[in-house]
Amino acid sequence: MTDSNRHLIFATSFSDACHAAIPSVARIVDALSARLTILHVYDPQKKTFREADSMLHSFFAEADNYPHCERQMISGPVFEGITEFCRHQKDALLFLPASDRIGLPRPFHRSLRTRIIRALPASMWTLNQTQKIGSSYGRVKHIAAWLTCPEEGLDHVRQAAAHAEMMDATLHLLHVVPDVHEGMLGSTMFSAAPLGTEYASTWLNKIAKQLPNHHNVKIHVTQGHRKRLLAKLLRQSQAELLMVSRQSALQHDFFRAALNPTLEDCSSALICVAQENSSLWTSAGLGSLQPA
Amino acid sequence: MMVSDQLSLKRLWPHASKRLMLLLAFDCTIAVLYSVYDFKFLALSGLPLAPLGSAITIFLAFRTNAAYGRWWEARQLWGNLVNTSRALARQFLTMLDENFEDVEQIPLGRRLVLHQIAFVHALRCHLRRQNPFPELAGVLGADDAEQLRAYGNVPAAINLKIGRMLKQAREEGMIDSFRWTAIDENLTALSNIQGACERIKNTPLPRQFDYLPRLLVNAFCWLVPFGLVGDLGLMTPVASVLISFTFIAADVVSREIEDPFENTIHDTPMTSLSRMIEKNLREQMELPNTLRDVHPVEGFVY
Repeated sequence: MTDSNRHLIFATSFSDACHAAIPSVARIVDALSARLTILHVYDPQKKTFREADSMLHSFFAEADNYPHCERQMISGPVFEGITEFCRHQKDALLFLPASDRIGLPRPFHRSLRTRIIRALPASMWTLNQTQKIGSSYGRVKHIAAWLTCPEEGLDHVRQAAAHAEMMDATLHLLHVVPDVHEGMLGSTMFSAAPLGTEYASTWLNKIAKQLPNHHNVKIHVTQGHRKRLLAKLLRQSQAELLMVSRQSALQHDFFRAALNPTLEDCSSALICVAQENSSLWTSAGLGSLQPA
Repeated sequence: MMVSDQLSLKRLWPHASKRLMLLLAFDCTIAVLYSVYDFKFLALSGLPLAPLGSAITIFLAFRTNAAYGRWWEARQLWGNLVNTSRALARQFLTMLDENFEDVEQIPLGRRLVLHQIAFVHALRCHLRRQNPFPELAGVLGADDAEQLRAYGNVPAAINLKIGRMLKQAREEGMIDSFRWTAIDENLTALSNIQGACERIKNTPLPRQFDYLPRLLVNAFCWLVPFGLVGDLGLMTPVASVLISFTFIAADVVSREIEDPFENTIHDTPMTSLSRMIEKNLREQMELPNTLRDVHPVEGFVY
Protein backbone atom coordinates (compact mmCIF):
# COMPACT_ATOMS: atom_id res chain seq x y z
CA MET A 1 0.00 0.00 0.00
CA THR A 2 1.38 3.37 -0.96
CA ASP A 3 2.00 5.96 1.73
CA SER A 4 1.14 9.14 -0.11
CA ASN A 5 3.33 11.16 2.27
CA ARG A 6 6.37 10.02 0.33
CA HIS A 7 6.58 11.62 -3.03
CA LEU A 8 9.27 11.02 -5.63
CA ILE A 9 9.60 13.45 -8.51
CA PHE A 10 11.55 12.05 -11.44
CA ALA A 11 12.66 14.97 -13.60
CA THR A 12 13.50 13.71 -17.07
CA SER A 13 14.88 15.04 -20.30
CA PHE A 14 14.46 11.64 -22.02
CA SER A 15 18.22 11.27 -22.19
CA ASP A 16 20.02 7.93 -22.15
CA ALA A 17 20.94 8.57 -18.51
CA CYS A 18 17.27 9.02 -17.64
CA HIS A 19 16.40 5.72 -19.27
CA ALA A 20 19.27 4.00 -17.53
CA ALA A 21 18.01 5.39 -14.21
CA ILE A 22 14.55 3.81 -14.53
CA PRO A 23 15.44 0.60 -12.61
CA SER A 24 16.80 2.74 -9.79
CA VAL A 25 13.60 4.77 -9.66
CA ALA A 26 11.51 1.60 -9.62
CA ARG A 27 13.52 0.29 -6.70
CA ILE A 28 13.22 3.53 -4.74
CA VAL A 29 9.46 3.72 -5.37
CA ASP A 30 9.08 0.19 -4.07
CA ALA A 31 11.44 0.66 -1.10
CA LEU A 32 9.75 3.88 0.05
CA SER A 33 6.23 2.98 -1.12
CA ALA A 34 6.24 6.38 -2.71
CA ARG A 35 3.96 7.98 -5.23
CA LEU A 36 5.73 8.93 -8.41
CA THR A 37 5.55 12.05 -10.54
CA ILE A 38 7.37 12.03 -13.86
CA LEU A 39 8.17 15.64 -14.69
CA HIS A 40 9.32 17.03 -18.00
CA VAL A 41 10.05 20.65 -18.79
CA TYR A 42 10.05 21.34 -22.50
CA ASP A 43 11.10 24.27 -24.63
CA PRO A 44 8.10 25.42 -26.72
CA GLN A 45 10.53 26.91 -29.27
CA LYS A 46 11.96 23.48 -30.05
CA LYS A 47 9.05 21.14 -29.46
CA THR A 48 5.31 21.32 -29.74
CA PHE A 49 3.08 20.41 -26.84
CA ARG A 50 1.85 17.36 -28.71
CA GLU A 51 5.35 16.04 -29.39
CA ALA A 52 6.43 16.59 -25.81
CA ASP A 53 3.25 14.97 -24.49
CA SER A 54 3.73 11.92 -26.69
CA MET A 55 7.33 11.55 -25.55
CA LEU A 56 6.40 12.02 -21.91
CA HIS A 57 3.81 9.25 -22.05
CA SER A 58 6.17 6.94 -23.93
CA PHE A 59 9.00 7.47 -21.47
CA PHE A 60 8.96 4.99 -18.56
CA ALA A 61 5.69 3.70 -19.95
CA GLU A 62 5.47 0.92 -17.38
CA ALA A 63 4.90 3.52 -14.66
CA ASP A 64 1.31 3.84 -15.91
CA ASN A 65 0.67 0.58 -14.05
CA TYR A 66 2.09 1.91 -10.78
CA PRO A 67 -0.60 2.44 -8.16
CA HIS A 68 0.16 6.15 -7.81
CA CYS A 69 1.86 7.70 -10.77
CA GLU A 70 1.23 10.93 -12.61
CA ARG A 71 2.95 12.76 -15.42
CA GLN A 72 3.45 16.48 -15.42
CA MET A 73 4.64 18.68 -18.24
CA ILE A 74 5.74 22.28 -17.94
CA SER A 75 6.92 24.61 -20.66
CA GLY A 76 9.76 27.05 -20.23
CA PRO A 77 13.35 27.05 -18.95
CA VAL A 78 14.30 23.78 -17.34
CA PHE A 79 15.77 25.11 -14.10
CA GLU A 80 12.88 27.46 -13.39
CA GLY A 81 10.32 24.81 -14.29
CA ILE A 82 11.76 22.17 -11.98
CA THR A 83 12.33 24.50 -9.04
CA GLU A 84 8.91 26.09 -9.33
CA PHE A 85 7.21 22.70 -9.44
CA CYS A 86 9.20 21.30 -6.53
CA ARG A 87 8.57 24.34 -4.35
CA HIS A 88 4.89 23.46 -4.35
CA GLN A 89 5.53 19.85 -3.38
CA LYS A 90 6.08 19.56 0.35
CA ASP A 91 8.70 17.04 1.43
CA ALA A 92 9.14 15.67 -2.06
CA LEU A 93 12.26 13.80 -3.11
CA LEU A 94 13.62 14.96 -6.45
CA PHE A 95 15.40 12.40 -8.61
CA LEU A 96 17.66 13.94 -11.24
CA PRO A 97 20.20 11.79 -13.11
CA ALA A 98 23.43 13.22 -14.46
CA SER A 99 23.48 14.60 -17.99
CA ASP A 100 24.79 12.37 -20.78
CA ARG A 101 28.48 12.48 -21.53
CA ILE A 102 29.29 14.18 -24.79
CA GLY A 103 32.93 13.09 -24.99
CA LEU A 104 34.24 16.65 -25.05
CA PRO A 105 35.27 19.01 -22.26
CA ARG A 106 32.59 21.44 -21.12
CA PRO A 107 34.39 24.39 -19.56
CA PHE A 108 31.31 26.64 -19.46
CA HIS A 109 28.84 23.97 -18.46
CA ARG A 110 26.68 24.89 -15.50
CA SER A 111 25.47 21.76 -13.81
CA LEU A 112 21.71 21.71 -13.46
CA ARG A 113 22.01 19.46 -10.43
CA THR A 114 24.28 21.94 -8.68
CA ARG A 115 21.96 24.84 -9.40
CA ILE A 116 18.99 22.93 -8.10
CA ILE A 117 20.80 21.83 -4.94
CA ARG A 118 21.59 25.46 -4.23
CA ALA A 119 18.12 26.72 -5.02
CA LEU A 120 15.84 24.08 -3.55
CA PRO A 121 15.53 23.00 0.07
CA ALA A 122 14.11 19.65 -1.04
CA SER A 123 16.14 16.45 -0.96
CA MET A 124 17.63 15.51 -4.29
CA TRP A 125 18.78 12.10 -5.42
CA THR A 126 21.14 11.84 -8.28
CA LEU A 127 22.86 9.06 -10.16
CA ASN A 128 26.15 9.37 -11.99
CA GLN A 129 26.95 7.46 -15.15
CA THR A 130 28.66 4.61 -13.36
CA GLN A 131 26.25 4.28 -10.50
CA LYS A 132 23.16 2.21 -10.18
CA ILE A 133 21.23 0.80 -7.31
CA GLY A 134 18.64 -1.00 -9.37
CA SER A 135 20.69 -4.04 -10.23
CA SER A 136 18.44 -6.25 -8.16
CA TYR A 137 14.96 -5.98 -6.82
CA GLY A 138 15.81 -7.13 -3.35
CA ARG A 139 15.40 -4.67 -0.53
CA VAL A 140 18.07 -2.06 0.17
CA LYS A 141 20.24 -3.51 2.91
CA HIS A 142 22.92 -0.89 3.52
CA ILE A 143 22.66 2.87 3.71
CA ALA A 144 25.65 5.12 4.35
CA ALA A 145 25.89 8.67 5.65
CA TRP A 146 29.06 10.65 5.01
CA LEU A 147 30.11 13.02 7.75
CA THR A 148 32.84 15.55 7.04
CA CYS A 149 32.70 17.93 10.00
CA PRO A 150 30.31 18.92 12.79
CA GLU A 151 29.57 22.25 11.09
CA GLU A 152 27.60 20.58 8.32
CA GLY A 153 24.93 19.52 10.76
CA LEU A 154 23.23 16.19 11.24
CA ASP A 155 20.13 16.53 9.11
CA HIS A 156 21.47 14.04 6.60
CA VAL A 157 22.29 11.54 9.34
CA ARG A 158 18.80 11.98 10.68
CA GLN A 159 17.32 11.27 7.29
CA ALA A 160 19.67 8.36 6.66
CA ALA A 161 18.60 6.83 9.97
CA ALA A 162 14.96 7.28 9.03
CA HIS A 163 15.55 5.65 5.66
CA ALA A 164 17.39 2.78 7.32
CA GLU A 165 14.60 2.29 9.81
CA MET A 166 11.99 2.38 7.06
CA MET A 167 13.85 -0.10 4.87
CA ASP A 168 15.14 -2.26 7.73
CA ALA A 169 18.68 -1.59 6.54
CA THR A 170 21.99 -1.21 8.28
CA LEU A 171 23.21 2.35 8.65
CA HIS A 172 26.89 3.05 8.08
CA LEU A 173 28.51 6.28 9.23
CA LEU A 174 31.55 7.15 7.14
CA HIS A 175 34.31 9.61 7.90
CA VAL A 176 37.72 10.17 6.31
CA VAL A 177 40.28 11.99 8.43
CA PRO A 178 42.64 14.06 6.26
CA ASP A 179 46.27 13.06 5.87
CA VAL A 180 48.72 14.43 8.39
CA HIS A 181 50.50 17.48 6.96
CA GLU A 182 52.15 20.67 8.16
CA GLY A 183 49.11 22.90 7.76
CA MET A 184 46.50 20.65 9.27
CA LEU A 185 46.42 22.47 12.59
CA GLY A 186 45.35 25.59 10.73
CA SER A 187 42.10 23.91 9.79
CA THR A 188 41.11 23.85 13.47
CA MET A 189 40.50 27.61 13.22
CA PHE A 190 37.63 26.93 10.82
CA SER A 191 36.35 23.54 11.77
CA ALA A 192 35.91 21.29 14.76
CA ALA A 193 36.48 18.20 12.61
CA PRO A 194 38.52 15.52 14.38
CA LEU A 195 42.17 15.28 13.41
CA GLY A 196 42.72 11.66 14.37
CA THR A 197 40.93 8.40 13.75
CA GLU A 198 40.34 7.71 17.46
CA TYR A 199 38.64 11.06 18.00
CA ALA A 200 36.67 10.57 14.82
CA SER A 201 35.47 7.15 15.99
CA THR A 202 34.45 8.62 19.34
CA TRP A 203 32.54 11.37 17.60
CA LEU A 204 30.70 8.97 15.33
CA ASN A 205 29.95 6.61 18.20
CA LYS A 206 28.33 9.48 20.13
CA ILE A 207 26.16 10.22 17.12
CA ALA A 208 25.33 6.56 16.62
CA LYS A 209 24.19 6.10 20.23
CA GLN A 210 21.64 8.86 19.80
CA LEU A 211 20.05 7.13 16.84
CA PRO A 212 17.12 4.73 17.11
CA ASN A 213 18.21 1.17 16.30
CA HIS A 214 21.75 2.15 17.27
CA HIS A 215 22.65 -1.54 17.40
CA ASN A 216 22.24 -1.58 13.64
CA VAL A 217 24.71 1.26 13.03
CA LYS A 218 28.27 0.63 11.92
CA ILE A 219 31.14 3.09 12.04
CA HIS A 220 33.79 3.35 9.32
CA VAL A 221 36.73 5.69 9.88
CA THR A 222 39.95 5.87 7.96
CA GLN A 223 42.68 8.39 7.31
CA GLY A 224 44.14 9.49 4.03
CA HIS A 225 43.10 10.83 0.67
CA ARG A 226 39.44 11.60 0.91
CA LYS A 227 38.36 10.86 -2.67
CA ARG A 228 40.02 7.49 -2.87
CA LEU A 229 39.16 6.33 0.62
CA LEU A 230 35.52 7.36 0.59
CA ALA A 231 34.98 5.08 -2.41
CA LYS A 232 36.82 2.34 -0.53
CA LEU A 233 34.67 2.81 2.58
CA LEU A 234 31.56 2.59 0.43
CA ARG A 235 32.71 -0.68 -1.06
CA GLN A 236 33.50 -2.03 2.38
CA SER A 237 30.12 -1.06 3.76
CA GLN A 238 28.35 -2.34 0.61
CA ALA A 239 26.17 0.74 0.86
CA GLU A 240 23.66 1.21 -1.92
CA LEU A 241 22.56 4.68 -0.87
CA LEU A 242 24.82 7.47 0.32
CA MET A 243 23.41 10.38 2.25
CA VAL A 244 25.44 13.59 2.17
CA SER A 245 24.86 17.06 3.48
CA ARG A 246 24.25 19.97 1.14
CA GLN A 247 27.50 21.48 2.30
CA SER A 248 29.62 18.50 1.35
CA ALA A 249 27.72 17.79 -1.88
CA LEU A 250 28.94 21.01 -3.48
CA GLN A 251 32.42 22.32 -4.10
CA HIS A 252 32.94 26.00 -4.72
CA ASP A 253 35.79 27.48 -6.72
CA PHE A 254 36.41 30.96 -8.10
CA PHE A 255 33.97 30.73 -10.97
CA ARG A 256 31.21 28.40 -10.04
CA ALA A 257 29.96 25.65 -7.78
CA ALA A 258 30.05 22.04 -8.92
CA LEU A 259 29.18 18.67 -7.56
CA ASN A 260 31.90 17.51 -5.20
CA PRO A 261 34.34 15.45 -7.30
CA THR A 262 34.89 13.22 -4.28
CA LEU A 263 31.40 11.90 -4.85
CA GLU A 264 31.80 11.39 -8.60
CA ASP A 265 33.80 8.22 -8.08
CA CYS A 266 31.44 6.66 -5.60
CA SER A 267 29.70 3.46 -6.54
CA SER A 268 26.46 4.22 -4.69
CA ALA A 269 23.66 6.54 -5.63
CA LEU A 270 24.01 9.99 -4.12
CA ILE A 271 21.48 11.71 -2.00
CA CYS A 272 21.64 15.36 -1.19
CA VAL A 273 19.79 16.15 1.97
CA ALA A 274 17.74 19.21 2.71
CA GLN A 275 19.01 21.47 5.44
CA GLU A 276 15.58 22.26 6.81
CA ASN A 277 13.90 19.67 8.98
CA SER A 278 11.40 17.64 7.10
CA SER A 279 8.18 16.47 8.74
CA LEU A 280 8.81 13.01 7.31
CA TRP A 281 12.06 12.38 9.12
CA THR A 282 11.23 12.84 12.79
CA SER A 283 12.13 9.37 14.01
CA ALA A 284 15.76 10.24 14.78
CA GLY A 285 16.12 13.01 17.33
CA LEU A 286 19.63 14.29 17.28
CA GLY A 287 21.20 17.33 18.80
CA SER A 288 24.35 18.95 17.61
CA LEU A 289 27.23 16.75 18.66
CA GLN A 290 30.79 17.99 18.69
CA PRO A 291 33.69 15.58 18.76
CA ALA A 292 35.68 15.39 21.98
CA MET B 1 15.98 0.02 -30.50
CA MET B 2 16.81 2.77 -32.94
CA VAL B 3 14.04 3.59 -35.38
CA SER B 4 15.25 6.87 -36.87
CA ASP B 5 16.93 6.78 -40.26
CA GLN B 6 19.98 8.72 -39.19
CA LEU B 7 22.53 7.74 -36.59
CA SER B 8 23.67 10.86 -34.84
CA LEU B 9 27.43 10.96 -34.42
CA LYS B 10 26.98 12.47 -30.98
CA ARG B 11 25.78 9.04 -29.85
CA LEU B 12 28.90 7.32 -31.11
CA TRP B 13 31.36 10.01 -30.13
CA PRO B 14 31.37 9.54 -26.32
CA HIS B 15 32.32 5.87 -26.76
CA ALA B 16 35.11 6.57 -29.23
CA SER B 17 36.28 10.02 -28.18
CA LYS B 18 39.10 9.04 -25.83
CA ARG B 19 40.66 6.61 -28.25
CA LEU B 20 40.32 9.01 -31.18
CA MET B 21 41.75 11.96 -29.28
CA LEU B 22 44.76 9.91 -28.22
CA LEU B 23 45.24 8.66 -31.75
CA LEU B 24 44.95 12.17 -33.17
CA ALA B 25 47.65 13.42 -30.81
CA PHE B 26 49.84 10.47 -31.73
CA ASP B 27 49.26 10.93 -35.47
CA CYS B 28 50.09 14.61 -35.27
CA THR B 29 53.31 13.78 -33.43
CA ILE B 30 54.35 11.27 -36.09
CA ALA B 31 53.48 13.66 -38.90
CA VAL B 32 55.48 16.51 -37.36
CA LEU B 33 58.47 14.31 -36.55
CA TYR B 34 58.54 12.99 -40.12
CA SER B 35 57.84 16.19 -42.02
CA VAL B 36 59.44 18.87 -39.89
CA TYR B 37 62.26 17.07 -38.10
CA ASP B 38 63.10 14.64 -40.93
CA PHE B 39 62.67 11.42 -38.92
CA LYS B 40 62.40 9.47 -42.17
CA PHE B 41 62.83 6.08 -40.52
CA LEU B 42 59.28 6.44 -39.14
CA ALA B 43 57.76 5.68 -42.54
CA LEU B 44 56.76 2.04 -42.91
CA SER B 45 55.84 0.20 -46.03
CA GLY B 46 52.08 -0.35 -46.27
CA LEU B 47 52.66 -4.09 -46.76
CA PRO B 48 52.43 -5.21 -43.09
CA LEU B 49 49.30 -3.17 -42.54
CA ALA B 50 47.25 -4.74 -45.31
CA PRO B 51 47.23 -8.34 -43.94
CA LEU B 52 46.66 -7.00 -40.43
CA GLY B 53 43.70 -5.01 -41.68
CA SER B 54 42.30 -8.12 -43.40
CA ALA B 55 42.64 -10.18 -40.21
CA ILE B 56 40.90 -7.51 -38.20
CA THR B 57 38.11 -7.36 -40.74
CA ILE B 58 37.50 -11.09 -40.36
CA PHE B 59 37.39 -10.81 -36.56
CA LEU B 60 35.11 -7.78 -36.64
CA ALA B 61 32.80 -9.38 -39.18
CA PHE B 62 32.46 -12.52 -37.11
CA ARG B 63 31.88 -10.54 -33.98
CA THR B 64 29.30 -8.29 -35.62
CA ASN B 65 27.46 -11.30 -37.03
CA ALA B 66 27.44 -13.01 -33.65
CA ALA B 67 26.22 -9.85 -31.92
CA TYR B 68 23.49 -9.32 -34.50
CA GLY B 69 22.47 -12.97 -34.16
CA ARG B 70 21.91 -12.50 -30.43
CA TRP B 71 19.99 -9.28 -30.98
CA TRP B 72 17.76 -10.83 -33.62
CA GLU B 73 17.14 -13.96 -31.57
CA ALA B 74 16.05 -11.74 -28.67
CA ARG B 75 13.61 -9.95 -30.96
CA GLN B 76 12.25 -13.27 -32.24
CA LEU B 77 11.74 -14.53 -28.71
CA TRP B 78 9.70 -11.48 -27.82
CA GLY B 79 7.74 -11.87 -31.03
CA ASN B 80 6.92 -15.43 -29.92
CA LEU B 81 5.92 -14.05 -26.56
CA VAL B 82 3.41 -11.75 -28.27
CA ASN B 83 1.91 -14.67 -30.19
CA THR B 84 1.83 -16.99 -27.19
CA SER B 85 0.27 -14.34 -24.98
CA ARG B 86 -2.55 -13.73 -27.44
CA ALA B 87 -3.14 -17.47 -27.86
CA LEU B 88 -3.20 -18.01 -24.12
CA ALA B 89 -5.59 -15.13 -23.54
CA ARG B 90 -7.96 -16.58 -26.15
CA GLN B 91 -7.76 -19.99 -24.48
CA PHE B 92 -8.35 -18.59 -21.00
CA LEU B 93 -11.37 -16.61 -22.14
CA THR B 94 -12.97 -19.35 -24.29
CA MET B 95 -11.96 -22.70 -22.87
CA LEU B 96 -13.09 -22.39 -19.26
CA ASP B 97 -16.62 -23.34 -18.27
CA GLU B 98 -17.15 -20.60 -15.72
CA ASN B 99 -20.04 -19.79 -13.43
CA PHE B 100 -20.79 -16.12 -14.00
CA GLU B 101 -23.54 -15.89 -11.37
CA ASP B 102 -21.19 -14.57 -8.71
CA VAL B 103 -20.70 -10.97 -9.86
CA GLU B 104 -18.42 -10.09 -6.93
CA GLN B 105 -15.66 -12.36 -8.13
CA ILE B 106 -13.52 -11.55 -11.11
CA PRO B 107 -14.06 -14.43 -13.55
CA LEU B 108 -11.23 -16.94 -13.54
CA GLY B 109 -10.55 -16.39 -17.22
CA ARG B 110 -9.95 -12.70 -16.69
CA ARG B 111 -7.77 -13.33 -13.66
CA LEU B 112 -5.68 -15.69 -15.75
CA VAL B 113 -5.31 -13.11 -18.50
CA LEU B 114 -4.24 -10.51 -15.94
CA HIS B 115 -1.64 -12.95 -14.71
CA GLN B 116 -0.45 -13.38 -18.26
CA ILE B 117 -0.06 -9.60 -18.55
CA ALA B 118 1.82 -9.68 -15.25
CA PHE B 119 4.09 -12.43 -16.60
CA VAL B 120 5.10 -10.27 -19.54
CA HIS B 121 5.90 -7.28 -17.34
CA ALA B 122 7.72 -9.46 -14.82
CA LEU B 123 9.82 -11.03 -17.57
CA ARG B 124 10.77 -7.62 -18.89
CA CYS B 125 11.77 -6.44 -15.41
CA HIS B 126 13.58 -9.72 -14.73
CA LEU B 127 15.73 -9.27 -17.81
CA ARG B 128 16.44 -5.62 -17.08
CA ARG B 129 17.12 -6.33 -13.40
CA GLN B 130 14.31 -3.94 -12.50
CA ASN B 131 11.95 -4.08 -9.57
CA PRO B 132 8.62 -5.40 -10.90
CA PHE B 133 6.50 -5.10 -7.77
CA PRO B 134 5.08 -1.59 -8.19
CA GLU B 135 3.88 -2.63 -11.63
CA LEU B 136 2.58 -6.00 -10.48
CA ALA B 137 0.67 -4.28 -7.67
CA GLY B 138 -1.08 -2.19 -10.30
CA VAL B 139 -1.93 -5.18 -12.53
CA LEU B 140 -2.70 -7.93 -10.01
CA GLY B 141 -3.44 -6.00 -6.84
CA ALA B 142 -1.31 -5.39 -3.78
CA ASP B 143 -2.01 -8.76 -2.13
CA ASP B 144 -1.06 -10.91 -5.10
CA ALA B 145 2.04 -8.81 -5.74
CA GLU B 146 3.07 -9.16 -2.12
CA GLN B 147 2.88 -12.97 -2.36
CA LEU B 148 5.31 -12.90 -5.24
CA ARG B 149 8.03 -11.18 -3.19
CA ALA B 150 8.97 -14.54 -1.73
CA TYR B 151 10.24 -15.68 -5.11
CA GLY B 152 13.57 -14.87 -6.67
CA ASN B 153 12.37 -15.64 -10.18
CA VAL B 154 9.11 -13.73 -10.40
CA PRO B 155 8.05 -14.62 -13.97
CA ALA B 156 8.53 -18.31 -13.22
CA ALA B 157 6.47 -17.85 -10.06
CA ILE B 158 3.65 -16.25 -12.04
CA ASN B 159 3.78 -19.10 -14.55
CA LEU B 160 3.52 -21.56 -11.67
CA LYS B 161 0.61 -19.65 -10.20
CA ILE B 162 -1.23 -19.77 -13.53
CA GLY B 163 -0.67 -23.52 -13.59
CA ARG B 164 -2.06 -23.88 -10.07
CA MET B 165 -5.13 -21.82 -10.92
CA LEU B 166 -5.75 -24.06 -13.91
CA LYS B 167 -5.29 -27.14 -11.77
CA GLN B 168 -7.92 -25.83 -9.39
CA ALA B 169 -10.20 -25.07 -12.33
CA ARG B 170 -9.77 -28.66 -13.54
CA GLU B 171 -10.64 -30.00 -10.10
CA GLU B 172 -13.77 -27.85 -10.10
CA GLY B 173 -14.75 -29.23 -13.47
CA MET B 174 -14.25 -25.99 -15.40
CA ILE B 175 -11.80 -27.54 -17.82
CA ASP B 176 -11.21 -31.03 -19.16
CA SER B 177 -7.90 -32.80 -19.80
CA PHE B 178 -7.79 -32.05 -23.51
CA ARG B 179 -8.19 -28.32 -23.03
CA TRP B 180 -5.78 -28.35 -20.13
CA THR B 181 -3.17 -30.02 -22.30
CA ALA B 182 -3.64 -27.42 -25.03
CA ILE B 183 -3.22 -24.59 -22.54
CA ASP B 184 -0.27 -26.30 -20.88
CA GLU B 185 1.59 -26.36 -24.19
CA ASN B 186 1.44 -22.58 -24.29
CA LEU B 187 2.50 -22.32 -20.67
CA THR B 188 5.50 -24.47 -21.54
CA ALA B 189 6.20 -22.16 -24.47
CA LEU B 190 6.31 -19.25 -22.01
CA SER B 191 8.88 -21.12 -19.92
CA ASN B 192 10.93 -21.83 -23.02
CA ILE B 193 10.86 -18.18 -24.04
CA GLN B 194 11.93 -17.12 -20.57
CA GLY B 195 14.73 -19.70 -20.57
CA ALA B 196 16.02 -18.58 -23.94
CA CYS B 197 15.99 -14.92 -22.88
CA GLU B 198 17.87 -15.79 -19.72
CA ARG B 199 20.39 -17.73 -21.79
CA ILE B 200 21.11 -14.63 -23.88
CA LYS B 201 21.19 -12.43 -20.81
CA ASN B 202 23.49 -14.61 -18.74
CA THR B 203 25.84 -15.93 -21.42
CA PRO B 204 27.95 -13.21 -23.00
CA LEU B 205 29.88 -13.64 -26.20
CA PRO B 206 33.10 -15.58 -25.53
CA ARG B 207 35.57 -13.11 -24.10
CA GLN B 208 38.16 -14.00 -26.72
CA PHE B 209 35.88 -12.51 -29.38
CA ASP B 210 35.57 -9.37 -27.32
CA TYR B 211 39.19 -8.94 -26.29
CA LEU B 212 41.07 -9.91 -29.45
CA PRO B 213 39.21 -7.63 -31.90
CA ARG B 214 39.67 -4.67 -29.56
CA LEU B 215 43.37 -5.44 -29.14
CA LEU B 216 43.92 -5.83 -32.87
CA VAL B 217 41.93 -2.68 -33.69
CA ASN B 218 44.03 -0.69 -31.23
CA ALA B 219 47.26 -2.10 -32.63
CA PHE B 220 46.18 -1.35 -36.18
CA CYS B 221 45.15 2.21 -35.34
CA TRP B 222 48.55 2.90 -33.76
CA LEU B 223 50.37 1.50 -36.81
CA VAL B 224 48.32 3.28 -39.50
CA PRO B 225 50.15 6.65 -39.25
CA PHE B 226 53.50 4.92 -39.84
CA GLY B 227 52.14 3.47 -43.06
CA LEU B 228 50.64 6.73 -44.30
CA VAL B 229 53.18 9.33 -43.23
CA GLY B 230 55.58 8.54 -46.12
CA ASP B 231 52.93 9.52 -48.70
CA LEU B 232 50.78 12.04 -46.89
CA GLY B 233 53.19 13.92 -44.67
CA LEU B 234 51.38 16.50 -42.59
CA MET B 235 47.99 15.31 -43.86
CA THR B 236 48.57 11.97 -42.12
CA PRO B 237 46.41 12.72 -39.06
CA VAL B 238 43.34 13.38 -41.22
CA ALA B 239 43.48 10.09 -43.11
CA SER B 240 44.69 8.11 -40.12
CA VAL B 241 41.90 9.28 -37.84
CA LEU B 242 39.29 8.56 -40.51
CA ILE B 243 40.57 5.01 -40.99
CA SER B 244 40.84 4.49 -37.24
CA PHE B 245 37.31 5.80 -36.73
CA THR B 246 35.98 3.22 -39.19
CA PHE B 247 37.45 0.33 -37.30
CA ILE B 248 36.64 1.75 -33.87
CA ALA B 249 33.04 2.40 -34.92
CA ALA B 250 32.68 -1.19 -36.16
CA ASP B 251 34.02 -2.42 -32.82
CA VAL B 252 31.76 -0.13 -30.77
CA VAL B 253 28.59 -0.87 -32.75
CA SER B 254 28.89 -4.64 -32.43
CA ARG B 255 29.66 -4.27 -28.74
CA GLU B 256 26.49 -2.21 -28.24
CA ILE B 257 24.06 -4.72 -29.75
CA GLU B 258 25.50 -7.94 -28.36
CA ASP B 259 23.51 -7.60 -25.10
CA PRO B 260 19.88 -6.88 -26.02
CA PHE B 261 18.56 -6.84 -22.43
CA GLU B 262 20.79 -4.25 -20.77
CA ASN B 263 18.31 -1.37 -20.65
CA THR B 264 20.15 0.67 -23.24
CA ILE B 265 18.98 2.41 -26.38
CA HIS B 266 20.02 -0.68 -28.38
CA ASP B 267 17.80 -3.07 -26.44
CA THR B 268 15.01 -5.16 -27.78
CA PRO B 269 12.01 -2.81 -27.42
CA MET B 270 10.52 -4.73 -24.53
CA THR B 271 8.59 -1.81 -23.04
CA SER B 272 6.82 -1.18 -26.32
CA LEU B 273 6.09 -4.87 -26.84
CA SER B 274 4.85 -5.27 -23.25
CA ARG B 275 2.49 -2.36 -23.74
CA MET B 276 1.23 -3.83 -27.01
CA ILE B 277 0.60 -7.21 -25.38
CA GLU B 278 -1.22 -5.60 -22.47
CA LYS B 279 -3.41 -3.50 -24.74
CA ASN B 280 -4.27 -6.50 -26.92
CA LEU B 281 -5.13 -8.69 -23.95
CA ARG B 282 -7.23 -5.97 -22.33
CA GLU B 283 -9.11 -5.59 -25.62
CA GLN B 284 -9.76 -9.32 -25.65
CA MET B 285 -11.21 -8.98 -22.18
CA GLU B 286 -13.35 -6.08 -23.49
CA LEU B 287 -11.95 -3.73 -20.90
CA PRO B 288 -11.80 0.01 -21.65
CA ASN B 289 -8.57 1.07 -23.28
CA THR B 290 -6.83 3.54 -21.00
CA LEU B 291 -3.26 2.85 -22.08
CA ARG B 292 -1.46 4.79 -24.76
CA ASP B 293 0.85 3.34 -27.38
CA VAL B 294 4.56 3.68 -26.79
CA HIS B 295 6.03 5.95 -29.43
CA PRO B 296 9.70 6.56 -30.26
CA VAL B 297 11.46 8.98 -27.95
CA GLU B 298 14.29 10.92 -29.59
CA GLY B 299 14.37 8.27 -32.34
CA PHE B 300 14.49 5.27 -29.99
CA VAL B 301 11.83 2.79 -28.90
CA TYR B 302 12.33 1.15 -25.54
